[in-house]
Amino acid sequence: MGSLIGQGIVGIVLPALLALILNGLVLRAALAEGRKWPFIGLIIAGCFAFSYSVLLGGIAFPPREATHWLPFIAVGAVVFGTILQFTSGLGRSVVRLIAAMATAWTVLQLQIFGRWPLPISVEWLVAVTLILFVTSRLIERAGALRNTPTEILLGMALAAGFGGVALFFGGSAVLGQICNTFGLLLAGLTILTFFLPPAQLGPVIPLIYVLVFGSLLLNGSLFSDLPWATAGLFWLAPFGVLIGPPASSGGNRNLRLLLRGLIVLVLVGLAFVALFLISPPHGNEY
Amino acid sequence: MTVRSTLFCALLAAATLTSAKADNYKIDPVHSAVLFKVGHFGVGNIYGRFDTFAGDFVFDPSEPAKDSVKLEIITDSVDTNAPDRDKHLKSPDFLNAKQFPTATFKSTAVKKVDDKNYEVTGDFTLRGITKPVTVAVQVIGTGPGPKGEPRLGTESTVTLKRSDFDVKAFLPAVTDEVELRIAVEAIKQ
Repeated sequence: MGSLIGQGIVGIVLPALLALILNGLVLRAALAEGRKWPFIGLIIAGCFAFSYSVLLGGIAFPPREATHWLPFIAVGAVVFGTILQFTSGLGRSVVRLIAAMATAWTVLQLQIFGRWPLPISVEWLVAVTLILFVTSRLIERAGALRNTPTEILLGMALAAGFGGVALFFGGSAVLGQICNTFGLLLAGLTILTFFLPPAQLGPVIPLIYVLVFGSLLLNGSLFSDLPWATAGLFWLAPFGVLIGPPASSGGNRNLRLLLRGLIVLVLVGLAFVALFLISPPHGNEY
Repeated sequence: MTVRSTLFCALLAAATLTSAKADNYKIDPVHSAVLFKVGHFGVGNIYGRFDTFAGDFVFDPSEPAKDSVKLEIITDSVDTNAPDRDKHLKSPDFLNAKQFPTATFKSTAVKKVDDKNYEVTGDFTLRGITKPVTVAVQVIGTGPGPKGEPRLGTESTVTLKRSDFDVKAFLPAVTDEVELRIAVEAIKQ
């Protein structure tokens, strides 16, 4: 058991702690806020790639399988997110669409093109692209209108963290661990922004979240046994933070944060109910 | 008899002799097994099997250079007597059975060691990666089966490094070396 615990510490705890320290330094740095998020995104993506490398025994290059793309998607999301940060109008939508389509393509190309009929494959590509595009825009825009960055980050951290547990039970322990790491990275950022509250979250972190978590859930449902209903509920979970009075209405911020966290947890709970109803574990420890 | 017809008869006789020696066999899955063994935490060994596979081979004891072997294993049929573990083994962490539904072996050379033992070199493909491997094959016996059909039995072993095929999850707690044992009864076609 020792080596697996060691691997867990190096692959999960170490990157989470490293990201917490580095992100704290960036948040405290004397930089314009808009310039901080690309650095924070890079730290999150770097630590995620490190975790992937430890837990899967290295980064495969060139990527041959859908899961091999995960670290590249994380780094790519930082690049696209940074471009989003400094663009506006139609150009911004085009960049977001390219990021969403590139991610959908990397996950789906090996599985559906050539195996499924072309029209169905194209439908899948379009559907996943649109879901990624719309979700990223909704979290970024609606979140900014109604929530503080800490509240949005809390929703994303809870969804990703518990999503990792669901992936574990959905048949892929390693993808689950990688997703847990991602959840921890976001949880660390949530804690930091609670104490060092920024004015805006910006597009970088929501885009990383949408592309990375989306890829993980798609991998779980397409190639492992994560039920689609569970993946869907996890996808909806962070939107729980949009329920309730907007942050601008004032009131106790701690209470509002707690309430929003609980709403997200209700959706997470429903996702687990769906998981255990559709794909019950056999209770045999291996 | 003309020279031409004599030559034709000689060629026909040679061809008949050759086909009589190089026999085609098809694996009988009911009396065959593809088993594997992997070390677990340095404590013990876990055994598993693949329930669905197919294959055939050409066997000529007098001319092993002409022998050939083909085997296809359905990765989704992995069975370790633990359903949750099987689900995990089929996932992208290990076999990635949905993206790579088969593992295959195709021989490239057969070398006779003695009357009962052969070394079969070939390409083994798992998760889309092909590597050359050498399998030690022992002929167990030949003879008629329940319906009088001619049968040949072999048992083969090979040790693979799973990391060679990008299967790296849980190394080294679950060993890199995986021993494959393929017990075959094949029916002459």
